[in-house]
Formats: sequence, structure tokens, C-alpha cells
Amino acid sequence: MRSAAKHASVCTSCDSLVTSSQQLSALLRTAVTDRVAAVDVSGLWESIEAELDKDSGPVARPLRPRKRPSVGRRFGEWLGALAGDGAFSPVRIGAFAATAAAVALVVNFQTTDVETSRVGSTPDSSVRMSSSSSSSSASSVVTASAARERVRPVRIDSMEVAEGHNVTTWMRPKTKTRVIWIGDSNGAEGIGVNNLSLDR
Amino acid sequence: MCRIVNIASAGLLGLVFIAPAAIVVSVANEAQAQESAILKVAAVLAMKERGTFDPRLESLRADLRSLPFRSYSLLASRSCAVSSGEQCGMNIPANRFLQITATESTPNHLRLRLVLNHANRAVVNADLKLSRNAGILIKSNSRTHGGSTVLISIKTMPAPQ
Repeated sequence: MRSAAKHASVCTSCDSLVTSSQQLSALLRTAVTDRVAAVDVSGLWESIEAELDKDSGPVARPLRPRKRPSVGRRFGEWLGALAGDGAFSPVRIGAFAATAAAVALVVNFQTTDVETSRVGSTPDSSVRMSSSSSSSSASSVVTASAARERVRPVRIDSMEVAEGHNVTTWMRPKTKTRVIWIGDSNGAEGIGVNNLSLDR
Repeated sequence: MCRIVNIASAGLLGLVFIAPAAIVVSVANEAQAQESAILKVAAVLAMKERGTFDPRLESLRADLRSLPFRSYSLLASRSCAVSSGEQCGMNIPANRFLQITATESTPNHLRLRLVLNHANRAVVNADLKLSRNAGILIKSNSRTHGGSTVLISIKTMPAPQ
């Protein structure tokens, strides 16, 4: 193809043949479009409508299928009609949203778990353990810091153990079980003498 | 004036649409908050001597494995459904009595007041918060005449639908 083009560029007879072929091709392409452009259809649609009006009387059928409005638009129109006269304006949408938000907030406040506010108001949880010494009747108080107030499977809010006993407690994370180990203060049990641990 | 009426009507419309939904949600939450939970309480005799592991305690094996005992047998067990304010009591061998009061019951957790009495004397008095799938294992203070120890397991289980 490239060699033929190269030859046509230097050969006069071949060049004239190629030129005439291009002219013929252009004439064929434009002939049809020129004919179509020459047809006058400006009054065609009006005459069709007029004929249809004659057949069907004063009520004319829709000639083109009307595009159905979107669901959102129809909902807006319906709400607008429900709310009163006029369109469903941005002001109304804003008022609607504000009321909905207010109701949602009220519901949210009413159904919020009490635990959250309680943790916030009293950051320290106390664990009371009675003294192992029989002479003292006052309870010793062990406080857990606020950092420990995260969600745990088992949390001890308070615990009192009778005099003459000690308690050790630890967590088994795998089984989500807290072990509360009560022993005699004389250490006979051999485990957790006067030791209270919330972290284990 | 017309603008105010517009806003008011839209607000009213919002109330009409959202308020019933909010009431339904609130009632559903209220119902959920008061739902009951099942507590499974078991008294286990633990011994230092080598012996058998009671097959009925299979669900507690992981908890018991870490304790310094070699054999375990089930003494008594009880399941009770509790909701907020309800109590569950159980006689524990060796003259002990366990009383559990549910002070709060939500879909996520339980709050329990736990009192373990020994010879009409409170040995432990604790307020606990348990997740629904959590448990407690208590080793009571005194031993039985045979030198064995009584363990008390309390497990929370989801209430049947």
C-alpha cells in the first residue's frame, strides 16, 4: 500500500487515476445527504396532529410517551400536597429535618444505657475488702483508676469479705470468667494472702 | 407570616412521621432492657488428691484447669431465670447458702448482688457487672471435713427466645 502511494506520487497517469477515484467517492457520499436535506418536513408533524385530532375528537392522545417523574420528585410533590399549598420548598425540608433530628435526639437520650453516664461521673470503682486483722473493724478500700474502667466481661463494683478472710481475684480472658478466691487470713490456703488484683 | 406557617407545617409533618417511629423504638428498647437472663449455678467439690474429672463439668474444664486441684466432681447445680429485681438462691454443701439478686438486666449485661453465707454469716457480699456470656468462679473459704474445697460457678446464659 505504501509502495503504491509512493509510485502514485511520481507517476502522473496513476496520480490522475487516484484523484478521479477520490472525486467519485466524495460525490457518492454527499449525493444521498444532499437529497435528504432537500426534503421539506417542516409541516409534516402539524399535519399528522391535525389528522389525529380529526379522528379522535377534541381530546388528543399523547403522541410521545411522557417521561415518568422520579420517585423523589413524586414523593416531594405528595408531601407538598399533604403539607398544604405550594411546592415542597427547601425551608420546609429544613424544618422537617430539624424536627426529625430533635425527635431522634430525644429518643436517643431516653434510651442511652445508664452505664456510660455512670462511668463518666464516677471514674473510680471501689472494691472493699475487710481487713484481715481481727482487731481492726474498718474496711480497707482499694480503688481502680479510671483507665481500668473499660468494658470488661466481669467487673466488680464493690466487694466485702468477712473479717478473718482475704480475697484474690483474677480474670480468665479466654473463658471470660473472673475467679474470686477467698482464703483464710492465716494463710492456710497459700494463695493470694491479702492481695487484691483487678488486672490479672 | 406565610413562611412561618410553612415551617410550622413541615415541623408538624416531621413529628407525624418520626414520633410514631420513635415511640416504637423506645418501647422496643424498654422491652429489651427488662429481658431476663438465665444463671447457671454449680457447686463443685475440688480435691487436691488425684482423682477423676466429673464429665458433667466439661463446660468448666477450661476454668478449673488452672486451679491447684486434681479432681473435680459436681455437687449440685441450679439454673434460674432472673430479670431485674429477681432473686435466685441455692444451698451449697457444707452449710453455705448463695443468694443472687439481679439488680439490672439489659441485653448486654447483668448487674448482680451476690451474697455467700456460711452458718448464717455473710462471707462475701459483692456487686458485680457481668456481660451476657461471662461467668464467675468462687472458691469459698472453708474446707469440708474431708479437706476438699467447694467451688461455686456462676455462668450467664442467653435467655431462650
